[in-house]
Amino acid sequence: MTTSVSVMVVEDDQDIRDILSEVLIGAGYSAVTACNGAQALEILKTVKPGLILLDLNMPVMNGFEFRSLQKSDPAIAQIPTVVMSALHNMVAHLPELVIEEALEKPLELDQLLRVVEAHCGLRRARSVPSA
Amino acid sequence: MTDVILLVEDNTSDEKLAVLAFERCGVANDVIVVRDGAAALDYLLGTREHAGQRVLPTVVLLDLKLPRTHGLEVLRRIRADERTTLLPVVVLTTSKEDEDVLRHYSVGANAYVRKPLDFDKFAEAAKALGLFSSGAPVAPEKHSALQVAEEALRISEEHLRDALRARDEFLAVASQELKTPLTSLTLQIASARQRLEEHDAPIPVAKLEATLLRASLLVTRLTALIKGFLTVARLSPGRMALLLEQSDLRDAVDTALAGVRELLARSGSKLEVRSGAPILGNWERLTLDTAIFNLVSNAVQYGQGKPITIDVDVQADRARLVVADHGIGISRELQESIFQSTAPHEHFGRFGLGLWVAHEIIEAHGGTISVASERGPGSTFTVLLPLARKELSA
Repeated sequence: MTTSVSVMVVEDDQDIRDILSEVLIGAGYSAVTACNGAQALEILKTVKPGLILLDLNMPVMNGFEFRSLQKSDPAIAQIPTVVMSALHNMVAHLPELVIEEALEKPLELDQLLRVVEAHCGLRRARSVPSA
Repeated sequence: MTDVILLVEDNTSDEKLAVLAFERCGVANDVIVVRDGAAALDYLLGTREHAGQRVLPTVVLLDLKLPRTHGLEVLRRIRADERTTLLPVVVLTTSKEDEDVLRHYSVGANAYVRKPLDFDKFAEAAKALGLFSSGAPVAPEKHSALQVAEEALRISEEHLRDALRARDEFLAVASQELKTPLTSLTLQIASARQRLEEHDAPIPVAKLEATLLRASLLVTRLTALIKGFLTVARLSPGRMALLLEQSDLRDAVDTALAGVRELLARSGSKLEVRSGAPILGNWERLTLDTAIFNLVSNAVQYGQGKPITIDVDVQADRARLVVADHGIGISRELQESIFQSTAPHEHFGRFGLGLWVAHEIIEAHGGTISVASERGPGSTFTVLLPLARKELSA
């Protein structure tokens, strides 16, 4: 059985995970977080997000490794994925990642919400975050 | 076979400069070059398979920043082995400050040579003292003064270009690292402003307090990062020396713990410090505190909420600090790069610059840092620092 959520945040920094969940939930979306690519793949077995926000530089399994495993699994290959990174030449890595969209850190809140809205639809009424 | 000179040097430009200086001064000894500390120890002391050289070199020229086994550890083991305890060892340093720190700890070097500036002076002095066998003077057509000057200039240029490239890479990595807390801070502020605009009702004071607390923690984190970078910049060759004063390693650990309290509470990890009697050494306290703070906050950050232990004790003739977590661990290929400022670009699983900053600080104090880890069951960082001399004789 799969649960659907709006956004999955894959990010190793706890502060960023916390604040992203908070702003997404505040904007009426539901969010799930993972600390690295390996944990994200595990969660994706049961949760189907409308969008994945993917950091690149993470221990255990980085964004590149995650992306290549994601693309090879038909069940999750089509989930829209947007990179968020502070890498100075991030755009150069996008073809290798087979990703078109990237958000540069530090993230702009308005820009972030526009991207989420484009993939997950307009913000809905405020919902209580699930535990 | 004439007596050989053993040159322990991983940098090929420095190797060339040393060999050039010997040639210029008519030193006829063969120069054997090994590229890391472990290879030097194999050569001198042997391994389980072979007994080491029966004829020791006339002199060992020892660089300090070596792969695999640090130069100070090589020197310590040379002095500890009865076969090599009297072997002349000349330590190659890069700054006057290195020499001061080393002299302070009387690590057992016979002399110091600042490279590449003092190679010539050293080769001449050593030859005059009869340490080296003198050969025929180098044929003038082979090394005219102009050719030598040109070669030295070319090598210095190479050094400078390498240094510039390293500086550029460092700037890229450092700004990436600064942007991580900056991302959270930016979103915190934007989100708070949005709440202010959207709500007619005032935001509860408790909520505002929580937001401000989180923002100030992020500012603390940014400040700590910047402080670490600036500390390392100050420690680089030719800069200011450390202001050493006697202090207790246990106090430095306490200071670091105070700094990670909030982070620790949030992580859920339990932290236990095991220490006994005071452990005195000559350290620059504020700087050493930064190194220990970085090690402990790394353990908290990647400890997955599992227990962390810190042991502070004396091991042989050195102060020892062991920080062990039970978190994600560090794979073998990453272990090679965690103490460097710029990892190869295919590695996007770096642990940030905190460990590199700790490494630089500890080495500047004449100490060593190493990691033992497997992916999964956690990482154990071991720091060894020189003790104050009084402690040594006690």
